[in-house]
Amino acid sequence: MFYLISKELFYTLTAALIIFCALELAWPGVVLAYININWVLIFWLIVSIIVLAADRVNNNYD
Amino acid sequence: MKNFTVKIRIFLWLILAGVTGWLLYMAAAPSGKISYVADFTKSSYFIGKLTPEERLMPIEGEMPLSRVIIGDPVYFSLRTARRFDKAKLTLKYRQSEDAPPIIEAGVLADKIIWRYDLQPIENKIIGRLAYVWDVKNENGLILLQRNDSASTTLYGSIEDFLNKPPQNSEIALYNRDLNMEYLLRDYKKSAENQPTVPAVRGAYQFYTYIKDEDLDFTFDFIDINKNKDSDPIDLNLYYGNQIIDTRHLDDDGIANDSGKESATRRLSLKAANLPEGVYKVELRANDDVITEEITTKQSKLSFAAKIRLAGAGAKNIGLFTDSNEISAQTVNPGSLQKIKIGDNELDINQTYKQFNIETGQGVKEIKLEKDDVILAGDGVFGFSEEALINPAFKKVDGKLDINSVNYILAKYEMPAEENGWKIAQAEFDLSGAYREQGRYNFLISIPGLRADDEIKDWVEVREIKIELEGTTLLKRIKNTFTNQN
Repeated sequence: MFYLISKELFYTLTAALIIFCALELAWPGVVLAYININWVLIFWLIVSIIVLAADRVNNNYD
Repeated sequence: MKNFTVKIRIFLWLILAGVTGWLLYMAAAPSGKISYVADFTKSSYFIGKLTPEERLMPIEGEMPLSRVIIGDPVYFSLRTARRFDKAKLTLKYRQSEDAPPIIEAGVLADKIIWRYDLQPIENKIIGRLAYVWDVKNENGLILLQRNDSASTTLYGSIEDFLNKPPQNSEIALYNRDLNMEYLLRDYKKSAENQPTVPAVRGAYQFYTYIKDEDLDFTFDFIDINKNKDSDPIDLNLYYGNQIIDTRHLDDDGIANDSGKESATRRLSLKAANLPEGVYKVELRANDDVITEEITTKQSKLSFAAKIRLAGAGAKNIGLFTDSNEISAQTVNPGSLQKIKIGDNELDINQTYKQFNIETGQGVKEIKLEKDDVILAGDGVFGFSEEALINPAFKKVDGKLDINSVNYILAKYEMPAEENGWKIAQAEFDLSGAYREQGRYNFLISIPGLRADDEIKDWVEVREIKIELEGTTLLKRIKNTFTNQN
């Protein structure tokens, strides 16, 4: 279940990053005024690592 | 399990949709209203830091709860995602006992001539006089009348005062214009062209007087192309604060900083059948534009508040001014000099530094050895004593001699007080304000507050709040479909 939640969170954060960057390019300041995209990116990286690690455990690689 | 995954997915995507919708809502401000606050405890994305740092008390240790202004002026920017029409600035502040009497705030209205639309925050002179003079308050206007003189007529209302005002010399104004005729009894028109004015750089405004004659000016310009921007020229003719005629000259075709001088270009400003009175000519141009020559028969020609003599190599220049406080500055090391102002001397021994001198009331001569100097003052500048004309009313500022006036008309509201802090508000029209990269530029002006003097005076700002008002989203959509602005 943890793996599933992490995977869904990863998808959502990926979409969030794409949407926020696109919004910021189209309308400067609209996102950065309230949200620091750097932190979203860091959070996305952490979740990505967790998903990869969970995937490895789930599928019992090696 | 699949059901659970779908639920999680819907939940997370709904959060993302909600956040995105909220961001768009905050940026679009559909109601047309939004407010931002900067209280200095943390940096604000919308209201920028007060700058420059040299005019603020240095921060020691942790982030302070307020910023202390020790020099005039300081600037801050306001970042908005869209344009607004009006801004209401609320300033929470306190000041030292010996701080200058006037605090004003402004928004940059015209970047070419660096004109700020200034609005009062506090005027201690009016505040003090309100205790001793007769006070009338009507519709945001305040009329103070001297009541200790038998010769002064006391008006029953502001309307009476406006309908039958006293002589100009008895009135001082603050943040309010008064359309009164300014007529010269002994004025005689000239048949000859006036002596040539030395080359002047950048923007300026001057007053002239017309009586039974045509207004006739010819300007010769060159463009020195030292800045990257294009250098268009606009000439505006004003009568009673209304533009009555304009002229425009496009850039010389070199919109870069090549330093290549353009050929001399001429612009004429002529108008016939004008009623007698004072006219103001405004040149809107950046510092690349040099007015080499102004040819006119008009015998009155006085530059208002500021004149920048161009570096054309002129020597021994004589000017006249009625300014009480005069400042001079140069950016050219070759123009460092001692300027004689009446019986005083002002030593300009450093570039990029503004030197000030108080010279007292009355007309005095300014003698410069070299040009390329920026002169500014609270009066007018002319190249002969006879050419001086200053139709401006006395202004209620730190230099006003209170004994010389009997009436003060002001558009001003005194600040409120709360727990030792003063709270003042100022409203600005943003529809014509300058906005670049989503930013409006504001300033807080405290004339007379200097960081480099011995006086330990200060103004401490605790909070800046800006309430913005503009078109609603619905109206904008309607306007788009009906092709209106």
